[in-house]
Amino acid sequence: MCKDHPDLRNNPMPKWLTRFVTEMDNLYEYDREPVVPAQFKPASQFVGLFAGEHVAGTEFVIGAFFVLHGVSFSNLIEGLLIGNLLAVLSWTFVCAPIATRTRLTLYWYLQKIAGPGLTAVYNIANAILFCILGGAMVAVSATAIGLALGIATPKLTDVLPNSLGWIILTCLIGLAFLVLAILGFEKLSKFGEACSPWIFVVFIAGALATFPKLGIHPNFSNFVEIARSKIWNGIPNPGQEQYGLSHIIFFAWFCNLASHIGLSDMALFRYARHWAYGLYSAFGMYPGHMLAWICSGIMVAGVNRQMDPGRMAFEAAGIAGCLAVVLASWTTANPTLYRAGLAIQCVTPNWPRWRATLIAGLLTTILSCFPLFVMKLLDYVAIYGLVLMPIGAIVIAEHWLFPLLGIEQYRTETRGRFINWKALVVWVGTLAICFFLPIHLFFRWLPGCLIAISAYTLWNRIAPGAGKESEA
Amino acid sequence: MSSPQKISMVRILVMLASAASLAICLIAPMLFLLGRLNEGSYKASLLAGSVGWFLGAAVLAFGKSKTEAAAKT
Repeated sequence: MCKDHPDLRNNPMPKWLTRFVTEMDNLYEYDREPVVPAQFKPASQFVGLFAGEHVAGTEFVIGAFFVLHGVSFSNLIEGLLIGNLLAVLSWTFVCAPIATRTRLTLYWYLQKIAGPGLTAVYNIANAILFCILGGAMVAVSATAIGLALGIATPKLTDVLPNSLGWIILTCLIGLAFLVLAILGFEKLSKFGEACSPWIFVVFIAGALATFPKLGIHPNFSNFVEIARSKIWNGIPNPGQEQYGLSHIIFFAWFCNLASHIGLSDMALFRYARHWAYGLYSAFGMYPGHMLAWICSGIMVAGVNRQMDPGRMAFEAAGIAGCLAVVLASWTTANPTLYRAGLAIQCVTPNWPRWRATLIAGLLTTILSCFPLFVMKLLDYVAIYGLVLMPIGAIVIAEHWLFPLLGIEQYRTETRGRFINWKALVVWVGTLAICFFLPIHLFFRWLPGCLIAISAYTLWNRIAPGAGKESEA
Repeated sequence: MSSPQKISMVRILVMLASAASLAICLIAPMLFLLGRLNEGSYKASLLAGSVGWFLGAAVLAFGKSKTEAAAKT
């Protein structure tokens, strides 16, 4: 939206609404222009942001799934240490340097590289993926509320809703999340910030309270022995694939692939004083992901390895545990819905934010009915990162490799093209290749990323004139 | 004591109360693990600590927004 927005010209609006729209316009203009030094944020804000953002409702599911997939204790610890380190390094050496050099969000930087056409396609893909993620969050919280209402959680193998009660419950929760996201995203985000430390504490409390049930002594003397034999015992649940060290390393690395290699966290790091602020992501990875996944693994072992986040939290922490599942899901679903709405809004003809969020929320609500997305969450997280990764790879190539190889940067912008067809072909082609790669889903993104970077760079290097014919 | 001093004093007290509530949430499972609390008391303490934390967070957030609004006007 801009100050000449048609809604503002044609529809007389109350003063407060005009002021609201103008404020929103200002926010957009902020996004459009590179961040200036006066707007840089202190390191403490990055610490708080990362520590709070990476303890979500899905953490209750992810850590539990590691147990169900028969990960051994040593593989878990080593895998999480290495994988999370790789994620931190990706933020530090890939995402943060580009963000601090351009001071732009990925959205606006992508417009320069890929044109508004491809940016719109990217936004639609992003919105759909956000909606699926939001749907998984709604389903996770439904397991907690369903517990109180006597509605059974779907089984691990369920793809479709298993009961009318589940459909009604997820729809009601989805709609409640949606209404809250439309009514007050800003205020609710502040509430979400207040929830973060408490959710983190409930994870630890739940794990500690499960220790006696598993036979762990108060002095922790037999913790490693019990962890190896009763929690991460290396035996997968029936029907679950066995995960090893490499699975855990890659999962921890790609869990936020869209944010670091996919560069969506440029929105965050454009406010950093220095690219080394990327190291603060460690506060989200180690006390956040690593500890939360370990705690949820302990809690699921306390309920005989049943994938039911609501029951798991209730058994470990009572009503506070159920509340944590609901709030952890909602505080993550709230910005997810907002972002999905924003992505939809960018490709719609002057739709107001509420309408775009409504569409995103309705899609999220429908998707939340299907247990597939929560019961296959690890695979979905892999697909989510994989789909968006080639765009990050294209930006990385254009930002770093093009100047090194003497290739002209930002040709799409300087020539006023609507879409960068080479980028689109590389994106789709990379995904097609990844689909057929004969390796596990978790590992496909890495060769895919290298393929996307090389293909996009080589194509622009060897056929610089081809752009005139191939690009509209 | 002037009004801004009073507000900052109240804020400090609420912050301390919130921190104490969060501490209760951590101490309760430790006491349960040590066998000093039964399961029911542990869960009730955790819930009470949680309520305390959210009350404190709400008061702080509300107080902050009121202070900000007053500063703007």
